[in-house]
Amino acid sequence: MNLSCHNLTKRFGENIVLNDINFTLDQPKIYGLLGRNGAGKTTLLRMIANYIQPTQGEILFDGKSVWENEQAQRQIFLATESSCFFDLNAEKIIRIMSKAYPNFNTEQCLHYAKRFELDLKKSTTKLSTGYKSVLRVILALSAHTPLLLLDEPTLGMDAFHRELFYKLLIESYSESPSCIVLSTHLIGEVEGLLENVIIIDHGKLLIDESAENLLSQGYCVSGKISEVDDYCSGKHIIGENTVGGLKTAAIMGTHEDAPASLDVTGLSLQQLFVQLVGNENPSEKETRL
Amino acid sequence: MSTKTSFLFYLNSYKVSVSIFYFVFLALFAVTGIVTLVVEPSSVNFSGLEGGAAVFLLIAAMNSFKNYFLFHLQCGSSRKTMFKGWLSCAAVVSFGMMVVNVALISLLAALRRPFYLDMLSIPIENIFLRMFAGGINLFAIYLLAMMFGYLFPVSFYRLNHIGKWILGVSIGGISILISYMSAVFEEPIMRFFLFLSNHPFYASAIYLLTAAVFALADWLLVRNIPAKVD
Amino acid sequence: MKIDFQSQTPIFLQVQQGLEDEILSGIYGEEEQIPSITELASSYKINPATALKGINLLVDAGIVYKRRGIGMFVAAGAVQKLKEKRQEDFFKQYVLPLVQEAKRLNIEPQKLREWIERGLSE
Repeated sequence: MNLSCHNLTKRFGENIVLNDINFTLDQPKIYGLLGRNGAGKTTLLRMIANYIQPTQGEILFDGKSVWENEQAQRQIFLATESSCFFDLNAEKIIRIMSKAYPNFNTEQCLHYAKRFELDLKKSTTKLSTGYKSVLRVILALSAHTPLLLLDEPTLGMDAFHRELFYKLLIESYSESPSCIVLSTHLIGEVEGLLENVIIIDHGKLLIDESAENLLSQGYCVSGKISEVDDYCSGKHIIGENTVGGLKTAAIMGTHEDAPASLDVTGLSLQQLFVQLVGNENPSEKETRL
Repeated sequence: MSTKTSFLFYLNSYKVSVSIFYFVFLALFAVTGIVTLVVEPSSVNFSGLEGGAAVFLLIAAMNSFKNYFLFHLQCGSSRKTMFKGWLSCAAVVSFGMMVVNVALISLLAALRRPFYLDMLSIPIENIFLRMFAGGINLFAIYLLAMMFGYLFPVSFYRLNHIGKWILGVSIGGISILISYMSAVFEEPIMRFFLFLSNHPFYASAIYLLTAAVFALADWLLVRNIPAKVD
Repeated sequence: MKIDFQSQTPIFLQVQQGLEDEILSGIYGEEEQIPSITELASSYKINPATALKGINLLVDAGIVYKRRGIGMFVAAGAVQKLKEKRQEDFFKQYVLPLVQEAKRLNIEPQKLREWIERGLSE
């Protein structure tokens, strides 16, 4: 499996949604596709899954364009909010999916449905948002495609269903590793799962590297305001926060000897993400990293 | 989805609506049947089956695009596979309804009920040949109706807001124009339709050709159609 | 075991240390099975590759071993090995800084020994 995007640009009228994106997915890893609302994540996934065509550039799957390429599309499964399942019930959809995807495991899917307590006889149009998401993820996890695109998979799910989904995702990934792209806003819930992180901001590819590398690029120090300020002078600070007399600063770079009075912790992906894309002025970001 | 799965999927979704159509027809037939027992038979005219089926298929085709399209994409199918599935479904449904209708019409003819049926007025001596010609004619009309009906959702889906208005207005304009033109050119039009009803095989050929033109237009619109987010 | 995503320690090292702690405290006795990669990954919501990396450190150190098709087991003598390793760590992590700080503060070695004696008896 090799999926590569070359100089990918998508415009809707005057609006540039994605701007000159380049990346390659070629390993059975869990990728996190992160970005703020409207950053272009869903558009990117919909282009990979044959929903829309890029304005410029191309997406290749094993060297061939994904557009109208059924051989490729049978190896790609996209679960997204606008996924359409008619007014059929889950039972019928599972039957059709088993014909559509060569490695679809019907038995496993029915078992998953039971664990999520999904009513197989209920028309999908009558399902709640949470249960629609449940249906999408159990189909996605049973399809066993080499490339799995999960766009906000836990949308509207309750905490129990979310935990169960992560558990099943890990189990399924351990049994048969495939390339999984997880696009979500709940970064805190998935940060332990992600091996690689792709961040899109304002239509541009900001980050594409391993989570480990990314997180090792920065750290946090906290302590008395004056001491933190002393320590931070001349360092590349990407964010700071003061509560009473306690100040916390996020710093890019490798951790140098900090005085014992300062608390040093790692950056969480969530913190780093907020710092990287939270800027209200996108032009300033160019100089970072 | 393979073309076969797609075809079966379309066919399956037509099953319910076609059944409802015939259920309504049979109910109407039963009512008129009872009425003819009471009222003077010559005052009852029942001729809905052939034309009714065409209108039904036109409307059914108008509802055969959006969700099917999105579902095919969800199943990893190409637009091409979907269109092939739809075409084969349209052909089979048209053929199937033609067969059922010819059978029903033959039954009505055998019962010698005083119902007016277009097909029985075809000027061919031999009753079997007449049925055959009528059958082909019906099939062609049904296919035409479906190919034409499909054009509406597809073109509306492709257009943006302004485009929809323009298309809507021009459809209205064209239909007004046609009704005006038909008043002006009443005679040649009448002659054309008379020719069609006297030459059922030519008529079928013309219908099929028109259906093919619409099918081509359908395909050109569907070929690269982008999926929208609601 | 508890995984702290904000810690400076990488997750795979946290997995290694967590399992070591559990072996030391006897949760998994010698020749007993430890959780599989999948179990670890799904219960702590971490990537299986990360869990594997942590466990491989234990395998390399001879603390656990794999039985093909069955799972992973605590090796015989693992507790002893861990204790030795931890004792060495103890020297580096606690004793050396203690002595260094004592030198900085001009604490006499005799005084330091006395204090350690006092700490031991308390």
